[in-house]
Amino acid sequence: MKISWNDTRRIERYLDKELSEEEKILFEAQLMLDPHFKFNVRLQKQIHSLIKLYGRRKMKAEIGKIHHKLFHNPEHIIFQQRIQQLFKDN
Amino acid sequence: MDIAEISFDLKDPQQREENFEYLYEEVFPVVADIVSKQGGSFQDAKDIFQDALIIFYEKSVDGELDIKLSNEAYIVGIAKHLWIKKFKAKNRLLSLDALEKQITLPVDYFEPGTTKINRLLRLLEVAGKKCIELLRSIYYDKLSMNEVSRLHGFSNAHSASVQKYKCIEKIKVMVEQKSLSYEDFME
Repeated sequence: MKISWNDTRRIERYLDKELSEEEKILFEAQLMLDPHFKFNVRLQKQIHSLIKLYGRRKMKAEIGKIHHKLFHNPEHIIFQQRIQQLFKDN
Repeated sequence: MDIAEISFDLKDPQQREENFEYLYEEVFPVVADIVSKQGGSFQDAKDIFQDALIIFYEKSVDGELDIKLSNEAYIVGIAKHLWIKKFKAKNRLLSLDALEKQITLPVDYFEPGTTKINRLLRLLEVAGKKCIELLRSIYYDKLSMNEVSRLHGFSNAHSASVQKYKCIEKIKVMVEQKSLSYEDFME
């Protein structure tokens, strides 16, 4: 499929809500009339969703490393004991 | 460092680790205490706290934080919402104050990725690592093009922007080849 560079930019600006009122009307008209364009918009939305999912997973991994450090490193022993105390009866 | 001053530094990936560690040390004990009093386990506290931090981070970079709440109160509030969502059937109710009630959880946060999406993400990580990292800085971390250019070693914001579009094109082709259906994604 041939994707125009210009369309990609316009779709990005649309998804970032940066189009002017006039541009938006034209955009939405094209969305209704042009199936190829519509498909393109859908693809770009999917990329946004994919990157969000990726971002969340990476963030979870970063935070997981911090957790590991705080609960396995001897310099944080006081912190570890304080938390253990909370769960001793659970 | 005052906990109230932290949120905006979270965007800078270089300072993020230090700031998250600080938040972990300060706020995890509060969340763990709540979870333990509700009869939850250490693992429950860990899961809920980590999701709360991620949601807090997203709200922070989106500029959605309510200034009436401190960062700590915000994270605790999100954690309480997460607890209620996850365990409401099994445990006694946790009360929320008026400000905490205003906190909302992102609707798409709990959708599990389909097998197809997971496979595609793995493929992108292998075949398009640089692109996916660049787009992560732009879409997820919401860095400005100047910050993106500095972080990813471009000479200026314009070159970073050109690369952004090349990456979108590249990933479009890969996604299209995998022919994902719209139903694979949450809106």
